[in-house]
Amino acid sequence: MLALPILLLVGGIATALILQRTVFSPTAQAAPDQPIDFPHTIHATTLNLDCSFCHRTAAEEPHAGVPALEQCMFCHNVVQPETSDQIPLLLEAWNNYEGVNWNRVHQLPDHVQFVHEAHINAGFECAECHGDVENMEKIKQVRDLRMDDCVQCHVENVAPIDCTTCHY
Amino acid sequence: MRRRDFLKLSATSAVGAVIFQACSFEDWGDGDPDSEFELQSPRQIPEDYLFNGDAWYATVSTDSPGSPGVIVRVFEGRAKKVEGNPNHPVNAGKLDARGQAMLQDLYHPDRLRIPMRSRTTGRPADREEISWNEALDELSEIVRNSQGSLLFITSPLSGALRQVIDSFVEGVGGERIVYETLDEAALHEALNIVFGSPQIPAFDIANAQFILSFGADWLQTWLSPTQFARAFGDFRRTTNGSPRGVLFHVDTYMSTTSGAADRWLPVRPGYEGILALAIARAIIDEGLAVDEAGFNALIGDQQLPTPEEAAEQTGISADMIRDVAQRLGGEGPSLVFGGGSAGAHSNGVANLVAIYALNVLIGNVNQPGGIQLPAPLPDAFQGLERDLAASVQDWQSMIARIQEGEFQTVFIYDANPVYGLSPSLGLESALQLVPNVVSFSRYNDETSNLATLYLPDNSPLESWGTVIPRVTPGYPVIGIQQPVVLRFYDTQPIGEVLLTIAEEVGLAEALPWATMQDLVREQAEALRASGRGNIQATGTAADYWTELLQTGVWMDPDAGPADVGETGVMPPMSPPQYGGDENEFPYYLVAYESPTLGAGQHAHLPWLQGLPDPITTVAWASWVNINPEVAREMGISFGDTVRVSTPVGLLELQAYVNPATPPNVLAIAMGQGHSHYTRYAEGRGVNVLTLLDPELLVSETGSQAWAGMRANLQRVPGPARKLPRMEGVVEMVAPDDYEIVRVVPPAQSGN
Repeated sequence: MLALPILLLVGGIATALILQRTVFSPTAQAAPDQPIDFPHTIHATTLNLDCSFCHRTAAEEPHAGVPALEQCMFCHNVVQPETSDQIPLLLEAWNNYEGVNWNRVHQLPDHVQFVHEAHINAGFECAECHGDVENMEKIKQVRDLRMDDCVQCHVENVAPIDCTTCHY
Repeated sequence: MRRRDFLKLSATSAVGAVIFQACSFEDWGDGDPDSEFELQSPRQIPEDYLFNGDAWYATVSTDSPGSPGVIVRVFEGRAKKVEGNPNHPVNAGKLDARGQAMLQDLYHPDRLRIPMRSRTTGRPADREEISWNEALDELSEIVRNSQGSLLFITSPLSGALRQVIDSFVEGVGGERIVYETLDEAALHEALNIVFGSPQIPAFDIANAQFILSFGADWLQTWLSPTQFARAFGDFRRTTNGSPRGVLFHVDTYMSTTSGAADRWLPVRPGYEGILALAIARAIIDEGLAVDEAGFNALIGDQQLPTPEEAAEQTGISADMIRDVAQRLGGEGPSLVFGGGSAGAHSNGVANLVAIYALNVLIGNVNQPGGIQLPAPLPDAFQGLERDLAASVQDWQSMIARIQEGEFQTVFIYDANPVYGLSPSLGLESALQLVPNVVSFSRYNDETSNLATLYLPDNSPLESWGTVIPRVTPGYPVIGIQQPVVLRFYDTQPIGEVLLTIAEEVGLAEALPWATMQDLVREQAEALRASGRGNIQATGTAADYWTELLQTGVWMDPDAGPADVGETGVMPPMSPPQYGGDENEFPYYLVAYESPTLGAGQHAHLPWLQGLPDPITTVAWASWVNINPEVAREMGISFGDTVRVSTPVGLLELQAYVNPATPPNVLAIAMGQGHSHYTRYAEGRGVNVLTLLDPELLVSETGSQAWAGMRANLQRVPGPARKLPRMEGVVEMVAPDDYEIVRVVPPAQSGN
């Protein structure tokens, strides 16, 4: 009599685990559309800009930092629309005194603290977590970045795995 | 901003670091869950937006007495700490508690945050929030309809804000009346008589060898206490080779200055001038006078009492008077000054003339260690020096005019006369008759509570301005006030509000500046054009502006002291009139400015409420200092409730049996007893100003003789209550049981 419920329970758990690893995995999610199709390929690869040129606080702050439009305009004052149909969107926002709301690609839960500074200064490349951004037309999450991923990486690199390392 | 929005923004990106600057971005904090998955690139990078990058901005503490310069640590767009500006000659890097508490003013939970319209005056529940557009429309309408019938009540102003408000008032044909609880009008009048200028001179405390001060608690509250206290440190210091300075302080109660003095001379209230004249006589008799003719010209045909005659009247012994005379006339610079209670008697002007004339007698005017008469301000700032406050007599006539309906509109800025003036003058009921009462105050205090329209002002840390200190070091000084953070609430600085409506009310020519910043820049350009001062980067206007803001102050130390102007003659010295019959009211009531709360204007700041009184260590309360002998006779013990009454009022408060209180004195600090002034001040303690008789005036100036009241004391039956204080919290170790300092002769010291 108990066999069926147990079977259902075990099967359910197994299915949930499989789903968590597959369709619900962050890496399985589609890359979100952005209000401006910002091409990392051009900026990071063709122009060979360092990540920290725009994400200025990655080596100094918890957050890598998303640049203000002012910073885009450092170059796009000169690099004008004829090179891309996306640049007018940037200029429109700038001229209208508006910000640009990007759709988040990497989002950790609120109870997790991830400090870019510590990881960059420990010698990790941005690509270790973010993948080959230089060649992505559209940014997508390529690494799981959930707790087991974090803990496993911490163990491999002999980093602390106390709860309060990330949950504080 | 709601907590959820706050957290959401914190989580989003490094831009979240500027979360409070970002409050103005409409897309953020909109409560839309979808926004949680968004990350914004703001249009421009706000200053101070990075983590771990703090910046110190120089500005001015307009709320501290003396307007010292401050530097403010700003971190992530938030002001975190205030310190003294080392460049500012008034305080040279030091700062008092009131300056430190500017932060609490900025973040105060009860600040008025948005414009409001009041349906019923005096009832906060009946106020409706309106937009700034509506508020400005309404204000313009009010101003247009009040040409010639507008009254502007302000605190004493100086610099840029004075220029804007004066031009505005003149443009609309209105009037301005300046309110300050303790107006020091007698001091200004006396200075005008002795030195030919009402402006307060510099006291070279640091370089004096002997100081005789009267009445004013200048180390805590009077005029510019940070400046004086810093100079007092130099005065006492012997490391530079000069001998330790000696201070004698004449006062009617044990103030902080009395406590710091080498000798405290507890004079009979109102007899400070008689004492000064007797000291003058002793100086002359001892042959120590330097400029006897100059002194005689100032006092006219006034007879100088002998030390023995004065001893009888003042309560200070003849020997002490001669000792003081010897010290004043001795080697090394000596300095005499006074104010506060010494000038707040019916004979206050004569008292202060007698006191300041001692400087002429000993020849220390414009000498090192003496009185330095201030050099004139640059041309662009002429007429913009700190206002002199109106007297109680001026207020009496003004209130009568309000009652007669002469004013359609009353503007109130940074002044709380309903709290400070005697209720019997009827200002509160008079204001209720005025159709439009517009408050620019940051708080709902007793006066602004009566408003019909609220246009809350920015905090001083959010505003532009130029501020001329009340007491300079002897040369011109102009503090530069700049906003160090963006606005915390939806407020607007009063100057900008007036400039915004200027065109609509036909004042485009009188007030041509678009913003207060434009006016300050224009004034900065005038300073650059003058070719004087401390700012080195005079090459371009932009460079000059940058260095001026970084320095936080313009000054011209090369400008020498001014010459003595056209002097006058002391009014006849008469005994003081007291408020109350000696038999019915046997004690002198000494109402003194609280070292932390001032005359009540700082009671809304919990840091200052919680800062113990330096003499009694009491905080958050009102108390009356009573002599132990008097207390014993009346059966009063510490914490008992007592009733203090004068001919015009009655208060019940707790007794503090203080051995340093003279037997005939009841001393009560000002500052408490607010009915409206934020959660920290309301319903706390009593307002001693209500015990003062507004009819008891300084003869020559019409200002309130607030030090001349008599009072009665009664014990109210009932158990003693605890009085919040530091003293006695930690049990003292009895000296008999524990030898704290062992005194041994050198032979036994072992080495």
